[in-house]
Order: sequence, then C-alpha cells, then structure tokens
Amino acid sequence: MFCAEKYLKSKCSYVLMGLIKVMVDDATEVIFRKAAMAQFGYEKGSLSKAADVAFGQWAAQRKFPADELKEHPVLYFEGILKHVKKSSVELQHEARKAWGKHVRS
Amino acid sequence: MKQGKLGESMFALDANIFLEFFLKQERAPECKELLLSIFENKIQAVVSDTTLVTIAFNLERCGQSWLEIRKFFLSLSRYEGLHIYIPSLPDKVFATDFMRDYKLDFDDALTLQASIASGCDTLISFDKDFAKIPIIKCLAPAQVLGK
Repeated sequence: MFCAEKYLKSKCSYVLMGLIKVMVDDATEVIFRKAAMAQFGYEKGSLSKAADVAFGQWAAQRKFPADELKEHPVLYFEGILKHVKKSSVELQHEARKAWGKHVRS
Repeated sequence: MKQGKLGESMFALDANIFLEFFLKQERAPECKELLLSIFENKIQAVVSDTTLVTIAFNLERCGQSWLEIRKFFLSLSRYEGLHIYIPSLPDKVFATDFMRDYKLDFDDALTLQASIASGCDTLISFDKDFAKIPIIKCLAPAQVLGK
C-alpha cells in the first residue's frame, strides 16, 4: 500500500518539517551561528538542528497551565521563611556547604 | 518571564535578594519593591538558572514542601521583566578564572560570569564578596530603586 508519508520522507528528510522564518538581532545571529556550528559541525543543517533545540526548550519553559499558580507570584512568598533566624547571605553560603556535603556523602 | 535581547539596562540578581524577601528581615521591604518592579516590568533583570537552584535548595532545607518549590518556579514565569540565563559549559570554565582571580567560591564565580555573559554591568546583591570585584558594580536593591 502506498504511504505518502514514507515516500516523502525517503525523498527529503526536511519535507515534513516545519518552516519558520525568523529575524534576530545581529549579535544574536553571530553567537547562535558559532554555537550551532560548534555543537553540530560546520555542515548543512546545523542551524536547523540548533534552532530545533532552542525553540523546543523555549516553548517547554512556557507550557505551564496559567491557572496552576493562583496566588500572587511575588507577595505569596513574603515571609515564607520567617521562622529561619539567619541572614539571607548566611543562608545562601550555608546552602552551598550543605550541598557540597550532600554531594560528597 | 521574558526571553528578549539581553543586556539593555538590565540588572543581574543574586539569590540573597529573593531569600531576604522570603525571610522578611530588615531589608525585605526594598527587596519586595524591587521584585514587584521586575514583576511589573518596570525594571529588567536577569537571574541565572543556578541561582534559582540555590534558592530552591534553600527552600527545601528550610522545610518547604515540593509544592512551595513548584510554586516558586511557576511564579518566575509571571515576572514580566525577568530573564533567566542558563550558564553554558564555557561559562562554567570562565567562572573558574574568577575563582582564581578574585578568590570567589564557585557559586559566586558562576553568578558573576552569568551576569557578565548576559550583558549586565550591575549585580544586585547583599553579598559583600562582590564589593571587591572591579569588573561589575554591586548594588543593594534600594540603590537600584534610587533610594
């Protein structure tokens, strides 16, 4: 039985891929091209591969349901650690030490 | 949470700014005002992904449940003026230069590298370790807010 999808895939691997034309800042283009070539090699398709990863990651960060956080995104956290009697810098530095111990144990 | 061009009048944020607000201590009001300004996109700020992990780790250590940690990360997606910078492998390599040159621990060095890599010339932090660093300005929230 003829399968159009298989046929098209056999002819060109890009046929069933989406095409997105984008405009980016010059500086962004330069660093993106360099990073893409470094990661995927200096060959055709490297930019598409890198763009696929970048677009996917960006979109994945934003797929949360809008109603999952009902509280105010800033005010909800005010005083959430007020039971802790340490300064913010102490807490930050102690966490590093604790993390180091956690990793070593 | 924004994903725009980095480096235009943006400030890097250290973990202790969030933590001070969570602890509701002496300088929490200025942190609150700063975070609300970023939330409302009046100020553009960058926070590194590793800084967020540090904050989450602190929340867990201080008895907060998975739900609070989840809410914290979800809350970040609502900040209109907040960019999240994910340090690359080269960033981690460059951070070790700062460990050597400025005697910083790795976490501070990576915060510094992430700040510079994302185009910020100012880091908002209470950590005095950054005050001695000549390549970046270290300001308290009140100074950024012009108070």
